[in-house]
Parts: sequence; C-alpha cells; structure tokens
Amino acid sequence: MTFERPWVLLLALLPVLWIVIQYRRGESRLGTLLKGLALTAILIALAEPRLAVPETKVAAVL
Amino acid sequence: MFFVNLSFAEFLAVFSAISALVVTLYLLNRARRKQTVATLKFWVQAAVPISARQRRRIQQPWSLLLQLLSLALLLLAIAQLRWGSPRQSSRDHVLVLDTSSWMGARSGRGTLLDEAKKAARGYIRALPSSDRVMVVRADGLATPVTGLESNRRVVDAAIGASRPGADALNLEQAVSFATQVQRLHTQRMGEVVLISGGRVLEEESGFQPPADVPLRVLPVSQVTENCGLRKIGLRRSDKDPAVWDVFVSVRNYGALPRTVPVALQYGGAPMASRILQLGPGKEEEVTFAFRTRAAGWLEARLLLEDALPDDNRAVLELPALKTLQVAVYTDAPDLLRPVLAANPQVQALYRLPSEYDPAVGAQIVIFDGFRPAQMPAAGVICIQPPANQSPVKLRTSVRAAPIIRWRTDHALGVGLRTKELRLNEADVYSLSPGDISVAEVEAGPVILARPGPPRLVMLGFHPGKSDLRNELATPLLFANILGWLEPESFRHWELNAGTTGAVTVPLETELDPGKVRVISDTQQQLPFTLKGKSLRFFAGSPGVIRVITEGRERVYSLTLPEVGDAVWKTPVSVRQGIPSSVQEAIARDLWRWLAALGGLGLLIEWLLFGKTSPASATSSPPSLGRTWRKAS
Repeated sequence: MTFERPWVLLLALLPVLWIVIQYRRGESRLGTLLKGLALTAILIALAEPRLAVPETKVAAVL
Repeated sequence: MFFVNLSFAEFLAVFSAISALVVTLYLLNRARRKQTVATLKFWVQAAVPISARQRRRIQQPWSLLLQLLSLALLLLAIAQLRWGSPRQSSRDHVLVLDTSSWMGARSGRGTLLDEAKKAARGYIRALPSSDRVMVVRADGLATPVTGLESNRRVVDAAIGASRPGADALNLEQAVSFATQVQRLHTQRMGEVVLISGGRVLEEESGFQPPADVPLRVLPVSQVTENCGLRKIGLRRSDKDPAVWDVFVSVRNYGALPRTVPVALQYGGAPMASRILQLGPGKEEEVTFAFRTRAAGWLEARLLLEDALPDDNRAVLELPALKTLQVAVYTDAPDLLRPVLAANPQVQALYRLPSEYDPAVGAQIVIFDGFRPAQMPAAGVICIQPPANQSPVKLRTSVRAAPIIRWRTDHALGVGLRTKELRLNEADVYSLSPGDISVAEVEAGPVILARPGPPRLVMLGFHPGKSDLRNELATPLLFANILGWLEPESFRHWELNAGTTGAVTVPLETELDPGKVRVISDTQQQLPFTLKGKSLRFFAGSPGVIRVITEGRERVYSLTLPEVGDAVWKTPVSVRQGIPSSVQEAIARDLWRWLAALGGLGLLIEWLLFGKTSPASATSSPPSLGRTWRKAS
C-alpha cells in the first residue's frame, strides 16, 4: 500500500496521543476511543492510500 | 455541482437515516439514568420526577447541529461532490508512444524517442491533475505499460523507461488498441494521443483513422536520410562446399541518391567491399563469395554515417565445414578412389583388409570383398562380401541382370537413374523387416540399407567393376549413402540476418510437421505453421532462431532493426500539437476539503460540548441552584 500524501499520516498520530491523554485522565474510555478512531480514519483517508491489486491476464496474438 | 459516487436521492436517504440515528442517540443519551450514591440527602432535586416531554427536549442544540453538519460534510466527501458539471469531470486519455526501431534515429536534438518523450511529458503537464492517462508502447505490437493512471509519477516513469524496439510501427493496430481501451475501460473518453516519427510499413502509409476516434498527433522531427541493411543470406556454394555465397541487401530510405560502400569482414579481417549507387527509396542486392572451412564471425557493414546506425551493421556466426573420415579396407583402392574423391568433404584412408582394427577412428568404414569378425561401431558399407560372411542373408546371385528399379523416394535413392544398365555379376539379398531396398533387379534387391544402429549398406556388386563405373549415378549413389550413414556431416547450412517479426521460410518440399523444429537461442521451441512449401514463424524480439528440417539447418539471426519503408502523412482532420485549452476543462474535486471540514467539525463539537456531556456529568452531583450549600 502506498500513500499519495504520506505526511498527513503524521497528523494521524495526534488523535492517538489525545486518546492516551484522555485515558490517563480517566475520561469515558469507550467514547474517547471511538472519537479518536474516527478522527484517525478521516486523516488516513486524507493521506489517500492506494492499494495495487496484481492481476494476471492471458492474451493470445493471432 | 454533482456527485460521483452517489445519486442525490441516495445521498438524501443515507443522510436522513444517519440524522435520525444521531438524534435518537442524542435524546437517549440525555435521558435519566440510574446512579448509585451513598446518600440521597444531596440528591433531593434529582429525585423529583421530570416529565417525559422535558427529558426529550433538546438541551444543547448547537452540539446536535454541529454533529449533523459534520456528518453531512463527511457524507458529501464519501459521495465525492464535485464542483462543475459532469461534462467537465476528469477524462481518460491513451498516450501511444511510438517505440519502433525508427525512433532510435538521430535528429539534431538527440534521438526521435527523446523528442517524443519530451512531447509526451508536455502533454501530460497540460492535462488537469484529475485526468487519467494510460501509456501504450507501440512498435510491431501495442503494449500497455500502465493502467489508466492519475498518478503522474507512474506515467512519467513509464515514459522515461521506453526504449526503441526492433520492429516497425504497426500504426493501425496501435490506434485500434487505444480506441478499444477507451471504449471498454474509460469512465469518460478523452483523447488518443499518438507521438510518432511517422515511419510505417508501405501498406500502412495511407492509413486513415476512423472519424469517431478522438485522435491527436504530437509530431517529432522529420528525419529522412538513412541507408540500411535489409537482409543478409549465406549458403555454401553448390560447386564447392568450402565457398560461402553471401547476398547482402541494402536500401536507401531517404529522398536523395546515396553512394553506399558495403564491406565484409571475416574474423576481423577485411574480405571484400563494394560500392553501391542507390536512388531514393531503392533497394539493391550485392553478392560476395569467399572461401573458408573454419568457423568464425562474418560482419557486414555499411561504411557511412546516417540517421540510424543500428541498421548499418550485422554479424553472423559461420559454422565450420565438417570433414568426414572414411576408412576403406580394400585390395583395389583405385577402383573406389574416384567416387570418394568426388566429394570434397570426404577424407578417405585406404588400408589392406589385413590391417583392419575394430577400434578404427573413422566415422564410416567400407569393407570391399570381405567381412571382419568384429564389426565397428561406425556406419558400414559392405561391398559384395563372400556369401558365407555376408551380414545380410543372401537370396541368390545373378548375372547380366538389369537394374529395374531405384528407390528414388528415399534419401538413399534421390536423383538416381540409369538406362538399361546391366550388372555383370551381383548378389541379391533377402529383405528383413525395416530394411530398405535401394536398387533392385528382377530377382530382388542388390543394394540394401539397414537402419541399425549402426547403419549398414550392402552393395551386391562392385561399382568399380561393373558398368556402373561409367555412370553419373555412381558418385551420386555414394554421396547419398555417405549422407544417409552420417547425416550430421552433410547437413546443409543456410544463414540469414534479418528483422524481427513474421518470417517466411521457403522449403524445397512439403514436410511433415513432426520432422520440423523451430528453436530460439534460449532452446525454446517456437510455434510455426506449414502451408505447402512454406514455413512461417513469429519472433517478437531480436535473437537467433534455428529452423531444423531433415538434413538442413537454417539459422535466422534476427538482429537487424525493421525500418518502415514509408512515411505516414497526418490527415488534415486529425488534431495536432498540445492544446492550450485542455487546462480549462476542469471539474474540481472537493472531497478532501469536505472530509477535512467534517473532521474539524466533529473535533470542535467534542472539545466544546464533550466536557458537559452526561458521561462526564454523572460523576458530579446535580446542581441544586440557590438552595445548594456545602455539607460540612
């Protein structure tokens, strides 16, 4: 998998950091986790991941 | 403004469902819940029942609004909202890059392919970033190098890695392939962009692209002046197998007459040279002959400088002329010497029968009038051995018997014919299964061959003592026998240097496909077709191909570049050059901005309202308003 804008992935670390801080404060863990994951998913989408799917094709030349 | 991934109705349906879910969760989240506390003393107000109508009232409308707005933005991003009209959305182009051999020709600014790459990159830069491009390399075959790709780095790498091939451009096939790709695989049809030097095969010079093909041509420099080797053929002379006959074909592709020096080198040493005067578009053949029995490298070269140096030189590997060692055990060598001396490939060694050694190193052994106790491992010719020593059962002996039949349909009897030839004295043999009768008298075969191994030929009469010694058939009979006993030594060689692609091999006779092999230099069998006296095969890349038939080996050194004979004139109706208006046709893709705004909205909502949410509020006692007092 490759990313069109890999630098955006650095921003995706911020929600993870936020989750860790909220955990330490003893905030609602499930809510914090869901919020953090939602933000991370949006940031990963903005990094535009690309997955190359190899295909094998057979051609006949007559 | 339009959606790429959803219709407007689908968007509304999905958004309505999500909104309903969010509002429901919002109301439920703010409903009363059970809380265990140590005392109810400070929870008096909370114990008062609140009406259901009040519980379901929206207490934080801005929070809910922000959530709904953020989700709407994210859904718009998923639906891929675009600014503009669908007609201005990204298009799919097929870029056909000519990689024929001619693109290696030099212009004043590098090769033609260098110019083509520059033009291709210029066109790519002029396209909107959302447009997709497929790169197709076109020479004899059209080969896609990328898929429909919006990543410009991939497209640029594919263009940069292109090299001139060995074939001529098959223009019609390339345009047809690009058109088919557009019709079958594109979301919105863009252009078919051809970047070519325009040199094609003669039959394609009048090619007219179909009117419905959105073809655009990016021309490169017109280089015309070039002379090149078309093909080279070598075969051993019929008169003297030690002499090679060389045929060199040269063509002037240019518009001006040229003087072309042609030189031949063997093993690095100059052998011969000629000067040809070639008119515009003319092709001529020049012949050389030189003598050698040794193996070596033959190089043909045009001593001039022109646009395409690759077709000015060709190298062929020549095999050595094999010598056949024949040991003759006879008391009368002079009777056999003329027939063996007639073949320059035969080196005969004459010995007395008493000197026979079974470990003789010769490839063929001739026993004249006797048969040894131990036969050699080599091929054997037995000439009229005594009846009690004959390795083949003797049926009878005849006198003054005419030869009535030659087996002319077999390699042993090819070309043999005698008229009223009578044999003074001959032995007639009995045929066993597998034996071949070469010559017959009324009573049966007088010349018989047994396939072995080792192979054996019985002569029931002595050719030097019969009337056959005065016949032309005698040396031919011995040549046939020696060739049948040791076919490898008499294999006919034919060497050709030519261009890749479809090759037609003319054959002497119609052949059984099972006895034909077409082998590449990597020892792979190539498919071929046989039609009458013609064999066809296809070589897509430069290399050495061997066509092996019975007793003959043809070597095709397909290393010369195939250059088109004609120049394709771009029709007036076809668009040319890079348009300046391509950049304007843009439909802006907004999904990234929408996703970023949606994420930002959710973040703001959580930061502003997250602290006062019931989840955090449950740990604090409810507000008692003005009546609240500290307990202690």
